[in-house]
Amino acid sequence: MYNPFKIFILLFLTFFISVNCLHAQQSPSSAAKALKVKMKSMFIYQFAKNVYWPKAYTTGDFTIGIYGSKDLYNLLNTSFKDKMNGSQKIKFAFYESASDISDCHLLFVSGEEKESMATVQKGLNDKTLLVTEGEDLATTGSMINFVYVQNRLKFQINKSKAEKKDFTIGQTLTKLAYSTI
Amino acid sequence: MKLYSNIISFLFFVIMSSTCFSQNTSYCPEQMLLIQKYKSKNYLNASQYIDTVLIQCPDKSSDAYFLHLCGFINFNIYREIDGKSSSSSARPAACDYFIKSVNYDNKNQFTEKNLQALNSFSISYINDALMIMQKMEFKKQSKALDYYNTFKKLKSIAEPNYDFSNISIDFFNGMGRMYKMRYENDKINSKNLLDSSINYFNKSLALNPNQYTPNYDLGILYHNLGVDIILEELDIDADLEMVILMQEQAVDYFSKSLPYLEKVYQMKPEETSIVQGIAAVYYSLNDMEKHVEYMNILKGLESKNSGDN
Repeated sequence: MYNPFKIFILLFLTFFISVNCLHAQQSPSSAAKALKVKMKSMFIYQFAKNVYWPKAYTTGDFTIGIYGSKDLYNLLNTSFKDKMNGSQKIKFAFYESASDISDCHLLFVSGEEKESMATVQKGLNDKTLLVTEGEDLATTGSMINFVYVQNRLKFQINKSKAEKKDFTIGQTLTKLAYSTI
Repeated sequence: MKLYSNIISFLFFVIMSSTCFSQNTSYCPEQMLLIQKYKSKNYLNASQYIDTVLIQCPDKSSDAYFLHLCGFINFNIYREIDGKSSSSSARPAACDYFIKSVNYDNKNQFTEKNLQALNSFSISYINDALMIMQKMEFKKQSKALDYYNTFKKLKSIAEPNYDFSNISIDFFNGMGRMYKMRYENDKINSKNLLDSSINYFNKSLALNPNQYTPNYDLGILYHNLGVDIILEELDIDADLEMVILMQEQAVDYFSKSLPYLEKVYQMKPEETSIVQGIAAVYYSLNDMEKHVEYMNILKGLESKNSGDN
């Protein structure tokens, strides 16, 4: 017997299959990577805004150095270059190797470069706030460290180490940190 | 569709010839005039004359035969004059008359024919609803819902034991897909459409939880929501509280995405887009162990597919 439903159900199936094929062409992985980079870039920018450097370092440009993550550098440089941090203009520098690292206010070392942490630390002066990503703050020897806790990007603060170098960690950072030592 | 029209036409003439001239109702010359207009296929004129009959013979408003006749007058206007247009006012009018005729037909003289007519109208309504979705006519989306509800109402009268599951699943999936596309065309201004899309997919899954399409759509939808909330909605220089709040929402969306994608993976374990989607969700949730596990599965599938080709 003729069934008018059948024609439409067939059209529907064709329609669903064609739309699903469109989805299959997308690459969600690249979006997921971009998401992580954006999150880190926003945190780093906020670290710069919410940490207070000793007066001797509050003139000239404010330099943020990135070691080991070109994507992160590119996003930071595109989004925040020449914005003001207090009275200082923000500039970004990308370092391909530990020996390239030069004078900067804030240095982020990617988790992929953790093997060269000792070399990195040797070359740092009192001006630089070191930000790392690793399993634990104590092992990285940094002042701020990114960690993933229950699927969320969080940060730890080594307040005593920062204060030894006369950095003042703002209340917002202290309040929102996952842990402070 | 022509075959369908021919069948309806045939049924109509059988119905009318078997019912029009066999009635013993109170004397009403206006009704006889109405039948004459109808027999001469002057349907519009007949329709306009219905009110005159009711004024002169008020008892006809509860006369099953008269209502049955009015139903067929409008049936023919819908079919012959309005060309079965979905916007024809004769269609709902015909349905009303047939339903009333069924209600007053204590002797069951016309009920069978009335129900046949209601059944064919119910099909016309659901076909119109499905056509709106097939053509992606966003502006008529609320009409599609009206048509679906009318289909259910009429079909329930014509076939009280009818199982609506399959057709409802198609309808809910279509509506969910339409709302999803409308949302994706203008994400910022149509956030409210997203809830509607999710609701329709969930309604469909409530009827059959083991469907591929709505599970896949919800999985991808929630994943994309998580990505969008960070990449599209979060201002790059937002303060830390906002960053943390938005991250919470994104994690919530990613977590919701996983069960749907894992379900469709069980159904189609060799579909690379699903494996890629699950790997992306685990990456977003920073579960690198699981991310690598699914990336390895993906590599295996891709090398298998390239070997097959």
